[in-house]
Amino acid sequence: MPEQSNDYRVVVFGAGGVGKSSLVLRFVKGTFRDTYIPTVEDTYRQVISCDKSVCTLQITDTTGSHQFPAMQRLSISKGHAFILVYSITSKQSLEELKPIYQQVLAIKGNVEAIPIMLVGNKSDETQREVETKDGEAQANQWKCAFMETSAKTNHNVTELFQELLNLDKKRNMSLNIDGKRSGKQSRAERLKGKCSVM
Amino acid sequence: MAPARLLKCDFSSTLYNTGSVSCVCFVFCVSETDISQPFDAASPHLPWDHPFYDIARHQIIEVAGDDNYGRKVIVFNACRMPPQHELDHHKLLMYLKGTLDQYVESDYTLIYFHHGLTSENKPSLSWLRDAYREFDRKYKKNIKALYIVHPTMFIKTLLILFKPIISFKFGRKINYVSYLSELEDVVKCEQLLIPARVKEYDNKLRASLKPTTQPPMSPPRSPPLPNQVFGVSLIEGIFRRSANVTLVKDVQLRYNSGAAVDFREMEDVHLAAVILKTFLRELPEPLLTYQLYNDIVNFTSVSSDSQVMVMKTLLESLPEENYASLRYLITFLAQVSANSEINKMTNSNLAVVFGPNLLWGRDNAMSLSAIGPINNFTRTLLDQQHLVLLNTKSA
Repeated sequence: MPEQSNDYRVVVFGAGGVGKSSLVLRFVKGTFRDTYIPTVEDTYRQVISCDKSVCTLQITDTTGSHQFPAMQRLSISKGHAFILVYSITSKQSLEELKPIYQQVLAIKGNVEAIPIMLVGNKSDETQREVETKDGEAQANQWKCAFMETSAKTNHNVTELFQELLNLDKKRNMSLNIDGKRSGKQSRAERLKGKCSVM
Repeated sequence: MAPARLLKCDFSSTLYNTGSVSCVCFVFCVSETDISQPFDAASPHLPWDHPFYDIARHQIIEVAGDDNYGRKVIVFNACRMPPQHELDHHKLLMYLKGTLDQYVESDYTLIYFHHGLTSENKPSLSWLRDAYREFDRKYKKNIKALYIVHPTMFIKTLLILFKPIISFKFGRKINYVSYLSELEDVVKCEQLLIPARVKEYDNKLRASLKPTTQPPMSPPRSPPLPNQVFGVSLIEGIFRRSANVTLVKDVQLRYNSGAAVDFREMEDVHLAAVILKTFLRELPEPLLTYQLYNDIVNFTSVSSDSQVMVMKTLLESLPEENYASLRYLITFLAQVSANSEINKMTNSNLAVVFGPNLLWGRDNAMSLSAIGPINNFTRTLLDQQHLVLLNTKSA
């Protein structure tokens, strides 16, 4: 088990080019750049409220282009919660999450207590290869939550992170601090429709 | 060192022949019985009253000097196996063990000539399975390579049957050899006393090839046409995107078994790209070698005006085969990034996806602190390749 510390660690996994970094950057910085830069590994920190106090939400954006089993195992064993991202324009990218999920399962044992969100990104794209119901079915099978997002149009991005935090039943976490709503949070009021928790 | 051997030929042919993931196993059972009477395994001429006389006279197993790396070579000639009922398999194994026992304490190479194994003389499958299981670890540990010469469907079927029980490490030591000429990289063929039947078979195999087809290990020296596989290097995210894992494994298997692979038949261009990266990634030693690991990781501290000089010196200390392969690869990647407006793969992007496949630490635990410098080195190499890489130095 990860040691109890003041950090809450979220790890983002997914194949190359599905938009992991775009999702994280949209959430952390509120911006979207149409650039094309593969990630080695980046970690972002943000203060959130947790059990009437504050803690650091630490988001690790991993590489999708190559796999280092050792690094991946380390990220999984240190992580508290996981975001598994695929692109709705690539069936293959959903396939690639399977070994990652299996790895999480192998390292964490019982995944039912671990917050995991399956995310179909690029929901603004029209060249869809993965139907929403296919993503839902996969999430059902994995007993995890599911959402479709678009980092480009900022669809469901903040919701994704808030929902992930809500899935953790051991802590009571919120992106809001002191009940004050940030700009991002007010956007979160909209668009609840697409989110479903299995 | 292993990569030097693996990268003996120019890059394309190497890719076709020596991917490091392969497995099939043909190992022999060993019983617990001690070999009480010593014998000289290098000689088939045992006294007639020696318990192994009737095994040794078949010359199924021979010790054939050292290979090109100074390891003992043990040869197993399947064609010399007498029909099942004439051979005591148990005794054969004890003899094999007796032979191996004299060498297994140090590294050795086993060459298995498969041709000539027929339904008449082949041992049973269950026997083979038990054989692998009973075989002591010390025999597997010091065997540095197993060469299966002239593999057939039979042996490839064994591969599939045994896959679940073969250890990954052992599987990596197994190599298919389609033509005797390929063995020259390992050992001088004349010292092997190859059975005439095997030589004839080899000649027949070569003759049956179409005149245009070269034996895999002696490819044409002229460089392949630019982008012959990646004529599609205009594809966005080439080398970044991934491919179907099952297909990747399938293609690896086909290469490793010597089968032809035609990427034009496959719909996914990323498959070829992933295979190239996987090949580099799964080399026993990285292309840039452990030798240079520290220098490359510390390359960031080299002042920018002497970087080209330092890099040039470092790379020229590489084994010739590694240098040639690297030059070929980097020159090719420079062509890819020349199209980065379309494919979006700039030098810096290519460095991120290739760096970790060109170098890793000996303990294989890739640390984030090393990837940065390695990628940085790769990017500088791509940026400066026209200054760093010699055009004249050829393999």
